Amino acid sequence: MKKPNTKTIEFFKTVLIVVLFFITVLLLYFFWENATKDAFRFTEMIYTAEEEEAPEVIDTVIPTEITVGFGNGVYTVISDGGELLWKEALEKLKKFSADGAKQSAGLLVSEISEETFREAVSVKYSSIQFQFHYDIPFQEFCKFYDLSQNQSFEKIEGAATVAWSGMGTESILIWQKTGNKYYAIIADQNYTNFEDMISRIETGDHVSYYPANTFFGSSVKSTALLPLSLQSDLLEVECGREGADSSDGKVKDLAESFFGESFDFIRKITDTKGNITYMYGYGQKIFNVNVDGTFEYKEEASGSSGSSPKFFESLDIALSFVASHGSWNSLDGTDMSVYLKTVLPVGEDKKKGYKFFFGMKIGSQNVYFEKSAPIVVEVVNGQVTYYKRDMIDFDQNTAANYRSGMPENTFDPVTVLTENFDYIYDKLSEAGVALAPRENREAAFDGIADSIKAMEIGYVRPLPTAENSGMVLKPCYRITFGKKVILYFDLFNKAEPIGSDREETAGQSGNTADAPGSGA
Amino acid sequence: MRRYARGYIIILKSRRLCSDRKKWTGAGAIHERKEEISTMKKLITILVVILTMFCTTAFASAATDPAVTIVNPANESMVYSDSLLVSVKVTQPKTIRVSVSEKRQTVDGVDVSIDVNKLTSESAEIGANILKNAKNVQICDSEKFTCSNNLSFYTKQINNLNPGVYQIQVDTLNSAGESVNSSTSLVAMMGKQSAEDQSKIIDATQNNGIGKLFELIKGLFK
Repeated sequence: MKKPNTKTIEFFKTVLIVVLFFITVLLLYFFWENATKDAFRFTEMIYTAEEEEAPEVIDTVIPTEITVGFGNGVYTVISDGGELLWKEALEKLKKFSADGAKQSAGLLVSEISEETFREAVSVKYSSIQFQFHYDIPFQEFCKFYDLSQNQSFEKIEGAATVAWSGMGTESILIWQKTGNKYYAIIADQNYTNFEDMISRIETGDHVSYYPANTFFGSSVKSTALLPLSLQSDLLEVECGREGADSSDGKVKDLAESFFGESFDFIRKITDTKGNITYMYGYGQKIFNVNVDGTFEYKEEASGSSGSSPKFFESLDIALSFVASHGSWNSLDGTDMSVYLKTVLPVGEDKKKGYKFFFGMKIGSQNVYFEKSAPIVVEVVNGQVTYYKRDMIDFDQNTAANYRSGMPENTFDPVTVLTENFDYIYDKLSEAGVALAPRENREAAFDGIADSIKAMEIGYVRPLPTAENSGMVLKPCYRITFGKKVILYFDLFNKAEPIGSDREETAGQSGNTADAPGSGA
Repeated sequence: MRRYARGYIIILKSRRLCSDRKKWTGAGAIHERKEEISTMKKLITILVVILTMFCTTAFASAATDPAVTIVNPANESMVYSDSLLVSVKVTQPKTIRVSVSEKRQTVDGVDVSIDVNKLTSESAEIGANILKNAKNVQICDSEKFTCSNNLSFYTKQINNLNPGVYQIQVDTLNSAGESVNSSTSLVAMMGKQSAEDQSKIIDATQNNGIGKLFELIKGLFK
């Protein structure tokens, strides 16, 4: 055997010394930092999910409804296409806050009674309400939209409705959902005026809405707005489940976005029903691929940051997370229009983070998912701890042709209630709504009408049943009643019932007050 | 009556001029001014006139059908709008016919709408006579509506109405299409309020101690 020459041995020794030196440095760093073993996540070292384009926060926070009162007893509700109006309103609010800040005493905030607010948005005055299904922390709201604020603004914790009324043209009104509080931001002069916006909407094409008690008489107290009559050209839309075949490469890509390309440290468990669970460590990260076509990801919270979570910052994290883990389109690449539907504070004292529920649209029409929401993301202390996708997928051409172009009368909105009296009666009774005996039809109907909170139009994705695969989106009336009951009815075809829901499962915060409505 | 009272309050409030701050937080007591009393008198006159006219109409018409109720507009009401929603509740399987007409008077040989505001300047008796002698001019085609169950609502929106007095008549029809019962509802359309009028309206009921304190605090920083 040939003995290695001295030069080679010396070179090997040098390399060994260098390696040992670096290992010493690394070990010193490890002990100096006092890092725990959890701090080492091989998957994160190996793989960083590729981030795709995420929607802008400013384009996601859009009022769910814009309610406009014309001051003559007639209202209209704009539930789609309100983005431009909202942006215009923000400009008016900026001017209001900037001019108000220059006045001698500045803008002042005063709490007002619910009655005053309802009076301001009642049939008597022209008014406009930009309504969200959730409270936006008001200090952050002002900062994000560049509105001047002063110390008196601290009274307002959150804003779920921003309103203006002809009753007090110099003021801006705020409804805070949490605690059901009402505020007026008072200026000395008319720094803003929404009258031109209201007139423009009134003279344009709009659907007339009236308060429920105008339709049903003084025995009904509800002021929820109901459309008088509607025409619609919405067609049924056939669709499929996103990632219906879990063996598909798209689902694998999604799993890889959480754990990296290598699954060496990941346990994969398939149960008897076919649900697949990917687990990292002892449950620090869990990703479920469910047979019903939904995907769920859970991550152990790493700890508290101590400071209260920021709404817009958390939302931005949620938007980016979804973009890099499955994207904002369907897994198959179909363009989806997604919007922020509602937000729930989470954690101890509801101050640790936010759970964001995103809704979906086809064109400009909302798609309501029976007992579900297309995308849910929970952000705690800046970390995504929960993420669920229940997206649908459809042919892009089908989606583009969801309107027939020949509007026809929908089933009469008021008759929806009388025609489905027994069905509604049963559903509300089950939920615990106090109603007069069924035999006393008039009084029982008054109870049903009193219980109405809102009536909306859109598509519903019914739950799959043995008879119905659930993959047909149907044009529907969506009526929200008291006790958080939501019922869906066919927009045409005798308004047959096509599903039911609860506000919690529909992603609406049911733990706080109801929206003020028309206030009539 | 409820709607009439509401209408009165609007007019009454419109006479008060106050800063916007007072609208939300309130300041000062309610001042009973002569002008307001005068307005109140005028409005009571309108009420008496409409009541008188309604009674005359009610006696003159056929018996009302208990299964048919004109829900909106409430009878003898005043509506500050140029748009009217007619809502009729039917609680038995029946066919009804709904007609909307305007009460018009002849002045110097010309048919004109009744000036609701002018009625206030006349005595109740003269006002009632104006309505009594007015003729009904149908403003849109009568519509038939059939209720096939035990609860239905007929609804219709009528737009671009001039200020004046309008009558909604609902006839219950038999199988031959003849009227067997009739109900009417009179409504005074006052026209839509301008934004300026709206902004002049203050809510005196909001006046309270907190409002005064608020004014005082704000004054300190001026």
